[in-house]
Amino acid sequence: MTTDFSGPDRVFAFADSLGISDEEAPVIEETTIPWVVFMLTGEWYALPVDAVQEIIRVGEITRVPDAPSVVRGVVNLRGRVLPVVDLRVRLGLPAAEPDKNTRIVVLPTRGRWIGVLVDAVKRIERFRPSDVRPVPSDVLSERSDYFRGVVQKDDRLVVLLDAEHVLLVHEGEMTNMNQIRVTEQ
Amino acid sequence: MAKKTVLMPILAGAGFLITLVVVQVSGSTNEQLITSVENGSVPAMQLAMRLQDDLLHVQRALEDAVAAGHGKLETADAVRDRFITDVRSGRANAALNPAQLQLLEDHFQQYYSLARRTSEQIMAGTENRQASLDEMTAMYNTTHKRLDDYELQQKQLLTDSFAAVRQNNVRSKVAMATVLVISLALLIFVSVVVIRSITAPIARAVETANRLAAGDLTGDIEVTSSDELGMLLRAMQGMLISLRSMIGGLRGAAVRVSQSAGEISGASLQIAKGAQSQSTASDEASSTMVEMASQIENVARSTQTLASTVDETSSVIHELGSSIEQVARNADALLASAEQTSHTVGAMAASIAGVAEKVESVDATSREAAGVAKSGSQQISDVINGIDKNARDVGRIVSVISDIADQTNLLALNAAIEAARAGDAGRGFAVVADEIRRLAERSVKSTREIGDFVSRVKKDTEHAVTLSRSVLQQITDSVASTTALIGEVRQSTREQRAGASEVLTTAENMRSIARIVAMASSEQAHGASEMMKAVEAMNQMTQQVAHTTSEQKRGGDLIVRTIEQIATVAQQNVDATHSLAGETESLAREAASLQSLAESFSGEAAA
Repeated sequence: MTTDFSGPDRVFAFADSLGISDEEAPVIEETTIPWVVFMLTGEWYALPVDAVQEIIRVGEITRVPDAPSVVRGVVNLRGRVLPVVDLRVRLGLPAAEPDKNTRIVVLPTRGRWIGVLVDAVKRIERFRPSDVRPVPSDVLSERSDYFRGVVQKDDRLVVLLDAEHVLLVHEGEMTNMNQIRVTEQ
Repeated sequence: MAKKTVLMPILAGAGFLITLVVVQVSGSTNEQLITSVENGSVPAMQLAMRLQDDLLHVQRALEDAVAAGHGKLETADAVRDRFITDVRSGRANAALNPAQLQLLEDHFQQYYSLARRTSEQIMAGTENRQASLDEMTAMYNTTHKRLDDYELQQKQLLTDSFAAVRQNNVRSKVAMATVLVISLALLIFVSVVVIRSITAPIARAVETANRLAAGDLTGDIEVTSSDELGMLLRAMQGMLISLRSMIGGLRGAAVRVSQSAGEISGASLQIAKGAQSQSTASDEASSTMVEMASQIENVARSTQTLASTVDETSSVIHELGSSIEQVARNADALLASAEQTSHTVGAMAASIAGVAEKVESVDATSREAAGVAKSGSQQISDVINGIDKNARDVGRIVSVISDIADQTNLLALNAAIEAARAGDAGRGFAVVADEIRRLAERSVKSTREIGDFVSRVKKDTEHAVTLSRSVLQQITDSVASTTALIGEVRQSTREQRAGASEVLTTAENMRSIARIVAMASSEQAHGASEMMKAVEAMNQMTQQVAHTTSEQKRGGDLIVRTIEQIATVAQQNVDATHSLAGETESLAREAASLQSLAESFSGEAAA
């Protein structure tokens, strides 16, 4: 078949001849939800992108007296004082000193910005809600509602967290993470 | 027995039959009597009464006719006719006596004719009527009397009949009672006889069976009857006889078994005694032999000790001889080497002088080499240091790149977050951000590889630096030590050169001494050889002794073992006879109990 690409709209005609339309362009599946995937003690966790403002490097963290035990201190974010929660301590994991991979995930929660210290941020991943499995209920206390579930990704389990609940600290739930880790092995 | 038992019902039946016959007979007699009463006496009486009545009516009719005086006698005639009719009807009854009735009729006819005539006379007023009237009255009375008699006779007949019936009844009652009593008595008697004839033999059989059960076999059972009980008793008699003979045999056997058991027991006891004594004897023999064997063993041990001592002595002497020989040989060798040494020392002295000269020249060369090595190593070190510095620079640059890539990655992440938060509007931007992130990751990966490479280079160069340093140091050191050694060699050769002549003199002296030593040691070796021979002979002798005793010991051991076997066998015999004795004892006991059991059957078998 020969097509005469003449006239002012010959370019469009050529484009049409390639048989590609907008509808066929690859699109991201509507049903997937983006998550910020990060690491804690070698394991993978995720927070919903909706709940994340941005990710920043760790500058100098200033300790604050009388702060809750999970609060590592405050940092200066473009002139804004940002409290930083050590997510390891929050989830009952052993605390660690920040290194060059350590990041602060900024969560705008209840009108405040609160930073969460994580070991490393990997990437944005999209998960289908149907792939999310509930955390086994027998390892959770009723207050451990900051787990949204777990999802399998490339032979690894990614623990999905709830941004708002992870900042609510109840008494006696700091050790649940250890139980969960034992159970997953 | 069955016949006897059948007799009783037959008897009872006969009694009942007789009773029945008696009842039948008396009943029929009564029946006849009653029938005759019913058919004869009752109508006769009725007839008599009716005739009386008719007679009265006739008389009255006549008197009425006379009284009326009209002379009409029809009524009287009608009554007379009725009388005649009645009599004739009575004659029709077979049960009545017709002659008697005929007589009565005739008499009545006479009377009536007289009465009629009389009446007619009276009515006619004839004379002599009183006489006719009297005659008529007499006639009437006679007739009346005759009728009364007839009636009376009939009444008597009736009474007699009833009396006869009553008597008959009584008779039949008596007869029945008599028959019943007789048959009952007969029945009882027969029953008693039959029962006695059945129970008496049974009681005898039971008694005999009880006696048998108690073990009494004496006495026979008398058999008198030939019925079933007789058969049973006869069978029991047969059983008794066979039992008696069986028990007799059994008792004899028991006695014999008991005797045999006693004999066996005595024999086994004797055997046991014998085995015991055999066992004791063999035990004694065994212990004696064991003692002997141990003595032999002692001798063997002593001999062995002697042999080993002789062996030791022999070996010592051997060693001595060989060492003397060695000494002799050494002395010879010494002599030879002393001569050799003497020669060698001469040659050495000459060569040492040559060496000393060469050492001087080597010393100079090595000093020169040390200087060259030092400067070369310095140059290598400089070059390597330059490489190291360059690698460090590259590493720094790489880390800067890595940092940038890292930041880019972070930016891309934030951009992706922004894009995701923007939803549909940010989708295009998300793609860009992802591309940037991939780029940054690739950069990070590349810089990491470069960094790895640089660090490897650094490590290699560092290794090279240390290696070259150590190698150069070793070269320098070895050169220096070579130089020092050569200096020492030079010094020693100088001293050697001086000592060599002294050595030469000493070697000469040594040679003469060695010659003397060689001679002496040769003589010594001869003496040692003689001694060796004597020791060998002694050794041989002791070995023979040892061999002999060892054989003796073996023999003794064999004997001991054999005796031990004998003892074991004897012990086994003892055990066996013991068990035999036990067995026979129990056998004897069994026999005794059997015998006593048989004794309990008292009977003719006791004979």
